[in-house]
Amino acid sequence: MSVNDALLRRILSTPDDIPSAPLALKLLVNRLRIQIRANPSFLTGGVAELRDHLRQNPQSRAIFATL
Amino acid sequence: MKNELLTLEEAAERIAAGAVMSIAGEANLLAQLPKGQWIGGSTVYFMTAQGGAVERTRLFCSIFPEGTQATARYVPIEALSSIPEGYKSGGVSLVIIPAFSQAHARFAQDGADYPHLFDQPLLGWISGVHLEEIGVVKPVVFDGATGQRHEDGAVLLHILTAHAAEPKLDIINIFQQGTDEDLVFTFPEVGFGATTAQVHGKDVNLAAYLTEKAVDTRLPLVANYAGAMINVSFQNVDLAAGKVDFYAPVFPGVEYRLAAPQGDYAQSFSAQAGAGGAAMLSCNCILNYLYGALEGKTTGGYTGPVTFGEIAYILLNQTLVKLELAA
Repeated sequence: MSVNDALLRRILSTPDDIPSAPLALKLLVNRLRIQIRANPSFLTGGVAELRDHLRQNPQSRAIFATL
Repeated sequence: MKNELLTLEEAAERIAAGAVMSIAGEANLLAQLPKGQWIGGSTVYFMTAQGGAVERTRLFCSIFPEGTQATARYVPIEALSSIPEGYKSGGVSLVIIPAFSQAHARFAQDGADYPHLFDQPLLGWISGVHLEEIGVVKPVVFDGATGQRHEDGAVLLHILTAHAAEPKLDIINIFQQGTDEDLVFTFPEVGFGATTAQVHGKDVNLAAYLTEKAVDTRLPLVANYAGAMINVSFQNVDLAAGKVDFYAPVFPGVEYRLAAPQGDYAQSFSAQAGAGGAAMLSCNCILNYLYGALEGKTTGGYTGPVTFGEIAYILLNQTLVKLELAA
């Protein structure tokens, strides 16, 4: 499944809950959001880390198909 | 997955037969177990099928299905970030860390930053001792592969189950964020303790503020992590020193709200847990055991060690962690 950067950026740039996401995804997204709020230039790095996580974790990947 | 309270001899037999197990119990019992595919941690508190209990003569064994492959290993403090390097593709990893150790503090503060930590289920707990033995007896963990006891570092069991089970790791947190805007805190720095917090954008001495507001510190602070409610529990409020200690670190950039008041803990767990739990690996927090007076009470079907901290990827407080191996 390919996930576009716009969706990943949106997820990381908003404070919205992801109620249907598995715990791993919620915790990772929360950590990346904090890093990005502290250092906005980390957004690109955050998107890359989130994309890498989705490649590795099928449960997180599955939820992205529904977002 | 099967959960059983076993005698030392029974547990040793299972290990000798090749069972993959997570084992909790008295350190002197764990020290007598043979080498094998297991890890263990010290505690004397358990949630059993009959309810919460102190147990010093038997071991609580969570036994993975036959055919499960596992690698037990010890990770010293300086190598904690290598925890995910042992992940087996499609598997799950268990971790146990001794309470009050350097590894406990380091994992709690840095764990979320370890590369690939969230790529597959990682769960476990912080080992403890009887509350009357804190400061006298050290919590320990055991690496079943070597039989070695450790007072610091982490023991890991990297597991791959035989059938097409998809491990599902989740938490049950009976606490919700409260709505009192005067009890919303942010912190300037990471730490297991704080002197200063911000409330309504202004610095306050946290110990004095909590005392003035007569805050019930049996309730945790609750942060919203993208929809997951994550607790930080109060350990001590020292008004004279102006310092507050926590059982998990607080982090800058996170908003913490005091939890809404909690009624009957056992009933709340049962309501949220439903009928499940019997065939899951789970652990619950010593603070829930104490504050909820869980001795003799059940929490749905969930059984397992009562711990000095729970791990579901990161360190948690006052939370039930559960792993389900779905068919």
